[in-house]
Amino acid sequence: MPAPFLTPISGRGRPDYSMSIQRSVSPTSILQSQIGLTVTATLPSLVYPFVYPFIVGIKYPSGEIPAGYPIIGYNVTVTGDTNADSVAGVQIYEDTDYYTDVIGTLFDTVFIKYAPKVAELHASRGFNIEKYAGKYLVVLFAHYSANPMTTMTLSVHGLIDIALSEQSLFKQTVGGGVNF
Amino acid sequence: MSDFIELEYTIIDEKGKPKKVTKKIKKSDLDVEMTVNGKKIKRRLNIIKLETPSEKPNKKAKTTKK
Repeated sequence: MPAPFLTPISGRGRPDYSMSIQRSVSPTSILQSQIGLTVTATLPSLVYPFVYPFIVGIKYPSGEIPAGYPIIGYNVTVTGDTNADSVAGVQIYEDTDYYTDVIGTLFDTVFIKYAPKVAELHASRGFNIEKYAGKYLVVLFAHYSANPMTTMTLSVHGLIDIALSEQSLFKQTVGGGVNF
Repeated sequence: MSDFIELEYTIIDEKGKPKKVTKKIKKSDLDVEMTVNGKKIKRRLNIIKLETPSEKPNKKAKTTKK
């Protein structure tokens, strides 16, 4: 019996195993990648309006990820171990130096939340950070308590949700340098 | 060089007038050991003054001509 004629199956999506068609479906590939940052430290109490900035940066070369694809940060939480006034915020800065930790000029405020006498802030509203390509995302946090030192935990969650065509996928453009 | 960072802020005193007050923080207290994504790092924290977004002027209410 002669060996059956086999067509190599390549590409993405649902394979079509019929002999004459290599690929009948070429769907859009959806990639989801979660990003996360958790910082725990014992910090001195501050006074309003002073805060600790933490650069978590969106430093990918603009143009590498096509415009219009959402990169979403959806959760910033600041938790303290005492019942203190806390603040959590996300601001976008220009001219910031990631390596020397020098904060530049304020470009935009995504949100700032205060929690008077509550030790937990929970910002569940997602925000699209795609429009801030090339700039720096700075997470602000602080506690204003009577205790001189308080242990705080800062957590930032995000989701890179990029829908790319198959061609773009091969260029390995996904996840380019969202540095957390 | 001072071992302290001075944070100047304004409070409202008993007479209702703004009063400038200074809080001192030891620089050494800002050298903290942080756990970042499970890894321990030592880092000197920055302190910045929070800039709140300027309020946009209210738009005039649209009136419809009858």
